[in-house]
Amino acid sequence: MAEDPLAWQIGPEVVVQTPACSPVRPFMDTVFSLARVDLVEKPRYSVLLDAEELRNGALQVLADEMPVFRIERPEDGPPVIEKIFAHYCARMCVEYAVFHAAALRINGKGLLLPAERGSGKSTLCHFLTRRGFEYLGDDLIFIHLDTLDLHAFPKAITLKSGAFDFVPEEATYQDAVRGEVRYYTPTVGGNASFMYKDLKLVVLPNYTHDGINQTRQVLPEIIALSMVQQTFGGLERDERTLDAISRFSEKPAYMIEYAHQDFAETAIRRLMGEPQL
Amino acid sequence: MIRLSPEVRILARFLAQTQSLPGPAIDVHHDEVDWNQWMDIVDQHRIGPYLGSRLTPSQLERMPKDVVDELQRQYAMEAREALIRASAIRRIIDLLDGRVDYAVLKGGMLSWTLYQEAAERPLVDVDLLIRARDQLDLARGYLEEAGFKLGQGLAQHHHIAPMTDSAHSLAIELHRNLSTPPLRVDIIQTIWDRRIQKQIGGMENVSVLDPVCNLFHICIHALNDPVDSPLFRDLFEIACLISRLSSSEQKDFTNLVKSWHLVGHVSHAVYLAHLLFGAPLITPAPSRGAIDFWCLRRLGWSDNTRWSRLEKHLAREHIEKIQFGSGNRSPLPLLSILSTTGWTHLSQTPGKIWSRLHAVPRKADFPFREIGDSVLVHNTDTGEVHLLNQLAHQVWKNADGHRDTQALIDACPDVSPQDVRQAIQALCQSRLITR
Repeated sequence: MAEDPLAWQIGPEVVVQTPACSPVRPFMDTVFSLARVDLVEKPRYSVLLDAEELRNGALQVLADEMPVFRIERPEDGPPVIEKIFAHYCARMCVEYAVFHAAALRINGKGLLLPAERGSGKSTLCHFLTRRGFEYLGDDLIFIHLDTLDLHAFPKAITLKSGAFDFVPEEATYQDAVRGEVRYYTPTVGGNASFMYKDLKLVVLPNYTHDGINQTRQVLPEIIALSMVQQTFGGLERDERTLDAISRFSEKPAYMIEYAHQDFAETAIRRLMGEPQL
Repeated sequence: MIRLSPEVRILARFLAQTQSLPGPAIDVHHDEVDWNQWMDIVDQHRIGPYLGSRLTPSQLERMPKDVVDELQRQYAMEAREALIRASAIRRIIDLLDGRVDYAVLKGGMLSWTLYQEAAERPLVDVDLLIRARDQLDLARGYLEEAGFKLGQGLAQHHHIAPMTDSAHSLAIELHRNLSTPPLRVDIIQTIWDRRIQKQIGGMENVSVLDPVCNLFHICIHALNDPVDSPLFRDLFEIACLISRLSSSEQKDFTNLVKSWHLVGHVSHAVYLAHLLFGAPLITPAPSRGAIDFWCLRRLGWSDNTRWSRLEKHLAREHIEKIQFGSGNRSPLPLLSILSTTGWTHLSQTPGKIWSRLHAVPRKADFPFREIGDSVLVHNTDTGEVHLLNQLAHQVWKNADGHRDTQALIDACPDVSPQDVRQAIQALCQSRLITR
């Protein structure tokens, strides 16, 4: 008898399933091990993912049994799967505004880090999760358009080659756009969410190479603009996205420029009213 | 003698090689190709993902690296959309199967029969043919129940307006005929009766047109709107479909279109597919006229110039006149279009200049939210979001269509008139204010 498919809840209303012995399962485990669930009820959107090996060794990926795309080499697998499902969730979760941001939690208090690529957001996220912060996500966050509750895209932390010096050795994968990447799954956190009222701090992180360590308060309009720039979907499809941006820009917000992650952690703990380690 | 640009010829040759078709008769050297223009043609005809997937290492090594990277990027990007589309198609077929009599048309079928996978062929909608009016209403009802909504209406068109779900995963078009103007009832009934069941992707027994009628449909569709549709890709698909027909099916096709008196409707597409890709010429070569002229122009067009926009307009109008009865070889319709277009443009220009000079600024009706002293405005026409500072906010708020520039200056007594004028100009440039 065939084993039941495995399930990953990768978005608020999105579940991916694969047969237990599917060739894509290792890719899902690498990227989404935090999101493994026992499926009890049918989600709004569900994709049955599988793959067949082609003669040249590439994998033909099947979604709901339909051939969709190919993965040429095993080292391409996790980055392709990560990007495909980030896009899928951003498009399908229509009751949510989606932003490019990391989210963490400590003692029930939420921290949001909206930032551009290359700002050091994921590396800082990795550091903070090793210092007692609970991980929600490092790439996408989903904000419910009515409740403003914040949900994670619960993938592993993706670090690019520039950050490899700061982290332990791990398997390296190839991404067509980002180059070499590695995946780090935090031990604390996962498929979590927090309410708008529990968001205590918004931080615009900016890793600098010139030794600058400074913290400064940011005006609400700057946070609003930053969130607009980091929108993945929502502005076009729902006017309530502007409400969400407006409400999130009311939260205390700081720009933290840091040459050392210790400085950023100290500043964040201070601003969140948390004791220093 | 037909002249094809080096960019068109090499693109046709690349495409032909992917399906073992002979390709264009006249070859071209890679040094002759303007790769920027080549990429422009690839983009316009939506062939990038396919090339990114299928070109062989020996083909890729003769192309500039940035072009290769762009093709592979397009394939990767299309894979993301393809997952959404595949799920949506599955959902739609599951929804209608056994409840409505339908046939899947065009890209919804070709993505998995002519292509290897969904990511190779961009698809903006799924077309379904439904013959009976009550069946069409039934299908529409089921789709509405599942969250699909009807878009803007298309009067007297051969399909109802596209239906989309809230995620815009895919538009669905429900057809009762295959072209505008419509095909005769006996023709459409024959096409309907010849439907077959086929495996599409992983779905068993999906109802589709038989290979002969499918080719017929793709031929009339390709030249129904050659200006705005991806003509290069359509002709490539026609070449592939012809080459996959058995000789008896090819004869069947020829006899069928003859009996329907529609040789003229399909022969141009068949001829162009032959010219570009070396597909068998299964209908008599048409006498060349305006349709072929515009199609060949279209293959090498760039969308970016004012001249090409004018040319597109002329082509669109001319082809429409031919479809509704004007002669394919007569220059008279074109002369009439040229004179009408010229007169319309000239007669409107003074009025436009006059109204621009005298119009009062009016803020466009876009969603906005006030944040502190600033305001965030979402220009839903361009997709841009603007953060207006205090002055721009004040000017924008006051631009109600009744106050002229002087009144707007008077409404900001603490600011210099020059600053207010600059704010008005900036808001006009961002299209947040119109005149």
